[in-house]
Amino acid sequence: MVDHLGVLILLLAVIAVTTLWLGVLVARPRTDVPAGGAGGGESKEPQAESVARAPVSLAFLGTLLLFVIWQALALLLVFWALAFAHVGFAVVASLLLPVLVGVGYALRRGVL
Amino acid sequence: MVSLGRTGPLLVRASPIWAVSAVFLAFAVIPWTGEYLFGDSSLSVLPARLDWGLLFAVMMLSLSGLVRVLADVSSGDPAVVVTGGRRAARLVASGMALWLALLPMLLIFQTLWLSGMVAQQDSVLWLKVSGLSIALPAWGILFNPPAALVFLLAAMAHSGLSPFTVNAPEEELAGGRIAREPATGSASLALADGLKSLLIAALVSLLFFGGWSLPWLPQSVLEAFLVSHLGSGLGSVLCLMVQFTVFALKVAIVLRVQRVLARALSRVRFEPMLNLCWKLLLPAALIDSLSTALILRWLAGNLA
Repeated sequence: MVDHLGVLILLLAVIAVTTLWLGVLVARPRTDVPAGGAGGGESKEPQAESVARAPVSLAFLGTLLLFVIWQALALLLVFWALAFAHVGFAVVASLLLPVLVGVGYALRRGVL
Repeated sequence: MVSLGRTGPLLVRASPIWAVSAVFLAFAVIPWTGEYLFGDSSLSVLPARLDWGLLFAVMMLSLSGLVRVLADVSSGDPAVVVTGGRRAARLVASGMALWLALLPMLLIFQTLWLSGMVAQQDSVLWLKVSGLSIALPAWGILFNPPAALVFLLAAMAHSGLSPFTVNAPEEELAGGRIAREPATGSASLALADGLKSLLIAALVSLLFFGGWSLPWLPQSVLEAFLVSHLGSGLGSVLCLMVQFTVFALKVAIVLRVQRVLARALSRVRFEPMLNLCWKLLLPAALIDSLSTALILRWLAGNLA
């Protein structure tokens, strides 16, 4: 476990930073959608058109990039699985269980 | 809007050839046969021997999709940028499930070397059921059937193969692939799709169906039999041809399964596809990985 402490700390740091960044981006109120929502018969189509054609912000692209980083983080699980014979079940479970609990929590909250 | 200057059109034009090149590169690490001895030298149909071949092949599969995202985002057309975003969402959702579906098999095989995985499956597994001994080929699918299903579905979704062609109608709305791309680009993308399908079939065969190994007949037994009857050179060549044919047949069967899935299911819409990846395949792969680790630990404890 001690041998892999550095990887674990790095992993936690990257996840923490990316999650915070994503949280800030998601929590920011949207200013590009008019306050009326999707209601209103006559103005419905032009409004949908304007949202679809809205300029893409750097924050949107940054969010996309974050998800790609998350996918790259999944790669780290591959090396933990490969080291299973050496590190044992407890170490592999210490990484897989929090992810499983997190996915379960996200499913329960309906955010996925 | 993010402006990429002259880089944008360059990325759009180069993306089809990058997409097809990435999949071609992945085939470099796919072993089509085992290794055979011809006197002092050995021969195998494997362009590049890479110890982390599985990692490379799946990364190239992802890269082939990512260059399309890059092209869409840098196209300068907001509608196409939105398509790129949706394509990225599909890639990430299915990519997570794809990588996690590999974990149980990595826990079992403890290697990323594709030939090594097949070598571990090239044996016979004896099971005792109520006093009766049954011999089964030691293929990966027998150790972990759910992983095979999750891997196949996630890989098809990741590659945007039918029925997961969610981005196709969006491309049609934005002018269509043929209208947007020159003929060579469109042909390259079609070729990339076909190659992705073949690559997925090859990976499924190698991971779950024993690759080139004949069921109940390990390579060592077959090669020894042929060499003793036909001599060293001819026996090894015949063994190579038999095992190459076996692998090609397995790949053809998995390709057929993909075609059947594509024809049996209607095109999956964007939200149901994301739901499938995030809410079904991802948790299933995680639970499968943990249960595999638990079973392996229990087996290690009992067999020690």
